[in-house]
Amino acid sequence: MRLERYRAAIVGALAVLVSGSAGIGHAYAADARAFRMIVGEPRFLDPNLATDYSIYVNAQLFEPLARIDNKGNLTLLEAKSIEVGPDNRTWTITLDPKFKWSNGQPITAADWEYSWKRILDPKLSSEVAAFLVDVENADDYNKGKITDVSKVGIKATGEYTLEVVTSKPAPQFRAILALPYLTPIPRAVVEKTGDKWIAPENILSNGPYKLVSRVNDQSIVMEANPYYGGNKPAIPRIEMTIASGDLCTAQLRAYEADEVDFATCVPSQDIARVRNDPKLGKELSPYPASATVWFQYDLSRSPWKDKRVRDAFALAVDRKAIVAAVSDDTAHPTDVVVPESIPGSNPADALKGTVEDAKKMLAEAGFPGGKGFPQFTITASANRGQPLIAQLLQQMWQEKLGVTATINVLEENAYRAWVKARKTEPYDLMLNQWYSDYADPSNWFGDLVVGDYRNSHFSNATFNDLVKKGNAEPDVAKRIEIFHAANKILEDEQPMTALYNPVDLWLVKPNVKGLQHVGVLDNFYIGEASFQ
Amino acid sequence: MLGYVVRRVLASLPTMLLVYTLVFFIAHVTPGSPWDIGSNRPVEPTVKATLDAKYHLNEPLHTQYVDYLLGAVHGDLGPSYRDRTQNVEDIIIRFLPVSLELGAAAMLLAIVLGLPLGALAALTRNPAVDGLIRMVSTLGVSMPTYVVTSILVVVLGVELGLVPTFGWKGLFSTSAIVPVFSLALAPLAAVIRYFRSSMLEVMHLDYIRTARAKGLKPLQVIVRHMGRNALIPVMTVVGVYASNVLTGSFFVESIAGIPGFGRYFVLAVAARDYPVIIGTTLVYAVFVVGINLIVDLSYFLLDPRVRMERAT
Repeated sequence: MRLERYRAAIVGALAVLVSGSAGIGHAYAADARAFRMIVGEPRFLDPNLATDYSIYVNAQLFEPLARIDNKGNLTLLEAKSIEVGPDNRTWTITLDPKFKWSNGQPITAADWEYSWKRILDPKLSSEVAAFLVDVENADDYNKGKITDVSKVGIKATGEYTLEVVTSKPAPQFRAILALPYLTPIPRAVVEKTGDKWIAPENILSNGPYKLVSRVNDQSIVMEANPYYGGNKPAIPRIEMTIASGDLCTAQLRAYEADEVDFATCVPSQDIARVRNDPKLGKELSPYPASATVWFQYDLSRSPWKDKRVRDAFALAVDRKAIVAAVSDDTAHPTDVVVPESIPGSNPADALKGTVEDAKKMLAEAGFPGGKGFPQFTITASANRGQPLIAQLLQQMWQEKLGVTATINVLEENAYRAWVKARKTEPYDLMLNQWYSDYADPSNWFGDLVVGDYRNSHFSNATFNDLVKKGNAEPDVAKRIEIFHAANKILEDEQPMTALYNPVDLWLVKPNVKGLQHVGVLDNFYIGEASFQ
Repeated sequence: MLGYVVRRVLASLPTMLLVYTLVFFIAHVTPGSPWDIGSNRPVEPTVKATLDAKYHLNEPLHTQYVDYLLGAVHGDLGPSYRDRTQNVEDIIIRFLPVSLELGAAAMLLAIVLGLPLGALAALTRNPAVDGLIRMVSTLGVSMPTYVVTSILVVVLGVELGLVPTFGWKGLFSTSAIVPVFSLALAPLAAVIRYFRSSMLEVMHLDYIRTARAKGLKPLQVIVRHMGRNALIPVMTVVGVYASNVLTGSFFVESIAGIPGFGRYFVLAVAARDYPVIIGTTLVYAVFVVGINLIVDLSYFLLDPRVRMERAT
């Protein structure tokens, strides 16, 4: 058979092809001394603009005045001191001159003033401006009501002295001054190069690392900043690879293949496997997030206006079952909206009762056994296990209360837009969540509830007054007492029903030491870690 | 032939306009604004207004429709909203070559492997070999690329540690193995199937018998006489797959972390980055139209009868 010969030749060619591709298998080896991780593409490397997860990348490059540690204490970084005057409004910040830009130039108060005023500039349209609204005239300038920037209460009064004046006494402002969003930027460079100042050839940073290279949607490389004023990083180089789509899955695969030293999350379907794995289980680093997942009702409409209906819905929920399903029991079930770690929260305020009470309340509201209760829709985001939570709630309410829900799952960005449109549009019930920006009651009671960022349309005059009073109270003990009273109203009225506090799960290779979860944003500082 | 090309190019203009119109309006009616993305808190109306004004999103939709079209015709595809320091042309220049490289490698692999395998399946009298090749090709056609890519990443990357699970270090590195194989599988399977069946059709024709009777060597008969004729249907299917594969696969690039055109398109959709969505779709459309044209022209080279028909 003559064909045999050709067949042999073809098979031979195939073998060469296959072995050829396998032969270059181990060419992939990264610099062992570089810290490797996968991140999402930062939307903004410009710290004046970044409010999303870009801040975790930026935190390696840029440093704020201070940091709030996990015990709630303020640790000074770039500032030598932060003093507030007797009026509780005038903050005098003395900068530490040993901190320098990554080219060795001094960082002056003028850089800080320039940066913070740029944040407020309406032309920049930065979301970071929300953190500076307490500053005198800042909001008016940001909204274009005044155009004279010199009226804004931020001023460099000396080479290393910065003075910030708030419009009213604002005790929580000290925590805001320590936010990672509020850093200096190199004025001279930004004025010269404009939007392109963040390009690797232009950028200057003040933190432990400097940017060496950046290829959009591909990679970010940093090296130790030789002029950094704090402790020199033990890890000289960071190599970040950019992922898109399912970031947690990409990180876990790379972690298991030893391509990265660190993963910032575990996909929910893999949590049980990772926890039960003898090796991975030990490398897991859990950290309770300062956050709550809840469901909420459109309080402007019936039947949700009726508190008995809300209470019935809340009491019919089995939180343990939800937490088991979405997090393999790693998250903490909670029945109060404001997390326990936030002053003013009080778990004792939680709504108490049994499923029998729930049935009774629904009957009292006019729907015995769920009879006559209108069919309603639960809206959820496609992310973070929310579709599963919605299904569990649907089932629980059907079984225990006899009411029927349909589920509407929206792609994450469509969901965000949908939530924002609920300001004027009606809805029934939605799943939602909030992660603290800073560990202060005003971020929850004020921004979230009074500001109605999530459009539950809850409005209670006593509650609003308490929050207003609490925000302006300089005495810490009195302040907590006021927020305690507000918390009681919030839980009594039950505009939102808390489900659980999520727990962040990191994976850290055993040879990495000193990588800590920091603060309410669960930040990490690679400059403080080392390889064993 | 030149007249034919000109006619085809002109005929594609209404198609392009239709593509533009559809993608423009679908992009704009999708819920969510480019400024809401990634933000945890409501975006201040003033912030929104400033950005809308800066990017002309405050103008009526029909004005935006005409303005963008005029710009695009003049080669200006607009700025990117997601990355405010870039415009769409920069993005195309940076991301399209990666997808082109990857796609070209995958098509080459599909053809280089597919033709001999298809021929082998057709010519062998061994049902086991034929069956095996047909099984592989059926599997290749029926398995979606995201399943193939995920399996390859988990097996080759996580379990065996032969290739990186993620990222791109150029075509001549191990990071190319998973994406090239994943992309090549579907066209490979198609090439095998089509080439096998058209070889079977051709092999019993009279002129083959004549060729053999003339005493030509079997390889010459297979390559010159059977192969060339059997290639025509394969060219059509290669063309269809090439326009898919060359412009980048959403799934393969997203899963394997390839900074290519397909992945960028997904990111743009998620970010409601209208100019990038429209610009990249137009590039896709140009590709599909262009490759179809090339496929049609290739018939001229392969089949003298087509040359005759088209000429008259």
